[in-house]
Amino acid sequence: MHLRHPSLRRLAKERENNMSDYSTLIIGSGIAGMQTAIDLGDMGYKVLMIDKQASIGGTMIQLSKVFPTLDCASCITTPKMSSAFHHDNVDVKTLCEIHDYKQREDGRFEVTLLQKARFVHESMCTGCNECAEACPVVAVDTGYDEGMGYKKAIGVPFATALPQKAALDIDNCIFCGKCANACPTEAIDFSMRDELTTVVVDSIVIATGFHETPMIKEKFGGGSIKNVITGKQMERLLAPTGPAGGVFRPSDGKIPWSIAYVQCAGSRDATIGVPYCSAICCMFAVKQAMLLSAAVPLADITIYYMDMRTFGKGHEEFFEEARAMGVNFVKGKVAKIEEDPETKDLIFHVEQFGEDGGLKTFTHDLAVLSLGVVPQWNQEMSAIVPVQLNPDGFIKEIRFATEPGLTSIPGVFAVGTATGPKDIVDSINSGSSVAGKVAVWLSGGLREEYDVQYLPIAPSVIGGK
Amino acid sequence: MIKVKPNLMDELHDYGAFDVSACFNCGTCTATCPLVEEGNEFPRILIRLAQLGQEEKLVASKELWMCYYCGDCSASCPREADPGEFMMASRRYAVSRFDFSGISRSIYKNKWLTFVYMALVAIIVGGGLYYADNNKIFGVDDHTILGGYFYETIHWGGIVSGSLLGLILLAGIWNMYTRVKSSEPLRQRDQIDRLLPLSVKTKLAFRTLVSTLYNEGILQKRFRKDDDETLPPERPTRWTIHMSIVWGFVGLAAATGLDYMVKDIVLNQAGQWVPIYYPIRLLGIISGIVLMYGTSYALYFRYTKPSQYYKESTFDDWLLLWLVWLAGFTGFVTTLFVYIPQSIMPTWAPWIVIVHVVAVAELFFILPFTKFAHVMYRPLALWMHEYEEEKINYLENLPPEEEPQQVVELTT
Repeated sequence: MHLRHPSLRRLAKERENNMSDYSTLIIGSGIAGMQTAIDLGDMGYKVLMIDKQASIGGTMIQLSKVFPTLDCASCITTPKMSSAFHHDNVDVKTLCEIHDYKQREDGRFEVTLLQKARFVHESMCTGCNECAEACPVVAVDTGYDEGMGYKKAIGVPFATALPQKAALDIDNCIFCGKCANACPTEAIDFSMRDELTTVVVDSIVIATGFHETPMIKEKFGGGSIKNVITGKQMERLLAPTGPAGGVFRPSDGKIPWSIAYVQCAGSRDATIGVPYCSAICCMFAVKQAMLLSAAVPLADITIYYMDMRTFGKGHEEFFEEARAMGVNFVKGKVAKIEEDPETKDLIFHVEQFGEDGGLKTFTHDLAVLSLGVVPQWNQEMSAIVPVQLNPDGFIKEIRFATEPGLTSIPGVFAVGTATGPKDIVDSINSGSSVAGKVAVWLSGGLREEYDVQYLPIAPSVIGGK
Repeated sequence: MIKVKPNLMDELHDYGAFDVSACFNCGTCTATCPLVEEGNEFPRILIRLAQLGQEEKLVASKELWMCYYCGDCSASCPREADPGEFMMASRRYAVSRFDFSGISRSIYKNKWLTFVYMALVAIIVGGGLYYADNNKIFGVDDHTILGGYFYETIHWGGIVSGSLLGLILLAGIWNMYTRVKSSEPLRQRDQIDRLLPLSVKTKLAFRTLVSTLYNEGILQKRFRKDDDETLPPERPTRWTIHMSIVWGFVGLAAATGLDYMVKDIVLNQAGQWVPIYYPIRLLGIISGIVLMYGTSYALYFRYTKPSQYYKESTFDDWLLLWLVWLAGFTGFVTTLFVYIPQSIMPTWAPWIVIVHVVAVAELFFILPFTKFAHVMYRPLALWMHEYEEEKINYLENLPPEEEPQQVVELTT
């Protein structure tokens, strides 16, 4: 269309320059971030979802089964990953982090993204995994397999990874070049560098999720006792996609005949700075105990707990079921775990409650610490996008009870465990509800809520659908 | 029947800085404690008692006196409720309960009352000394500074205040005894008392008394088990410091008692000047050195806080240590004055003697009312509980009575 008047032409040009690249930038691609992306995409908004890992999927793709239905976790996650990744309105960048952030006067956000080098051209890689076959390096997989399995220095991160593209682990690579020779499409490029790109978006959704409390507690060995593992490591051992196809104990690879769960090992503990309840540990311990009764049918499974917080729908019944299955629930907090230097068995010191209570010591083959939920979004990231944090480190929701997901910055939202411990169902719920909030924001609503001075922005790039 | 005291927690708060209301009863403290024995688990159970307002059980418990406050429980408490400080506060509370006069309670609740109380003691003792001997000590030349002038006042003052102190202590001990006796588990054991003959009870009482004194007093084995392993080996441990203070006191008490018995009663030479190699004087000097060693290190560590055991010091701790240190220091200066020639004796020498006597008197008079009272209550409580346990053990280990064999008459 030709605009005759110069001022109109200038206006149109300005408007073109002011167009956002995306309606929403979603930081993190776990189950909550994916749900937000899918919902917003379905509504017709153009969404960019980034993740610092080489594949989307977040924590949930690592899990074995979900409580209280015992559904297969990857059977739920993989379709969601697929529909988010292949969505017409959703663009995905993996190995990508936020680097800088600026709020423009018109209310849009200019976000600089740090695209980490993949050393494989995504457009050329076919996901054949020939590179992994050729790679001579075998390294401990501290990512997907939580240190319980091994991986090559290059290859598709895991079987159901999306994008199905290889990524090179530069920390473990020895630069032998065998992968580059093996690659049929010559996609491997050692000259790739980290790149900065800037996108202009109308809103931001933080979906960075959680990680487990680090194993710093001295009384539980501070991470130095081999047979003390984390809940997530046990998830990997139990998962059908797991590294060993079964449960073993790390010190000698034997099948553990006596497995103990230590509840509140990384939460409700002010000495490690996590005073709050992590909400999911009771249920995942009960779930894992059930799965273990199937995986190692003859094993004794004991759960040491202070109180079982089985609050959700069907959770209490699930707990009762585990009890009926013969899982031994001992009321008492484990105070100290010691390692027998010869047998590598673990000696627990507990004050047991109840009739035959008192100070007791128990011996177990394998201990699983039910560690707490700690936000991935940390102070450093808050220095980039200055959202306010709660004293516990989670992102502050300004209307926590009535309008969850609104952060202290208008136009920046938070979903899932970034705002507090949540189980999968709650994370998906929060993803969908915030998608609704974002849509309201993009259509010009919500401004009064924040008492924002600037005018509503025009609904931005509406993707074709 | 158990009496419940609903405001027990609030009361306890006046005796120490802790936040036991934060406690969610996980038992981490109990499981980390190096001194817990089977059947005597603490601190969690005691905290529970306090939360439930069961004052009688709390005050009469053995566990209260089994704790030596190493602070392991406080360091590992997930709620940072400071159970170690709770135990300490409960001991202070127990001391104030055993004291019938109410002085202890007001001292703990109000720091300034302590100063008022101590000032009173200082004025009475120091003023008494000053006025009783004023015309003799100041301005008159004589080389026997302790020998002649202060002797009478100190002697009779000591006997009077010693008897007074003894009475207060006896009342406290009686108070404690009845409380422990009437606390629930022991009341049930009254039946046991009826089962045992007096001779057996005397034997058991004596045996447990000896073992308690030996283990808890002479060697302080329990304290040693609770000891500091974080300090470098050349530093004295908590146990070494405490032992030297205890043995310094014991030696000085022995020297005073022996001096009184030998010189006053046997030799009838009261107030005589003795040479430095006189055995009883020598015992006093050595004990004084031991006491000063322990006290100085205790003060030094409380200031520098080299390990977690010294991280918290209350007014109570400082008061006691500084008083002991002051008494020891002025004691040595006084001893020096006894043996230096008259020509270089300073004119302020009698003042040092007065300060020394006042410091010792303060120690005497805070003994039944403050932390210092553990000297008496701790061994007593441990002994009483030990005795009751021994009685049960004795009954349980009695050989079963043989049933009289039935004589079967064979009929032919």
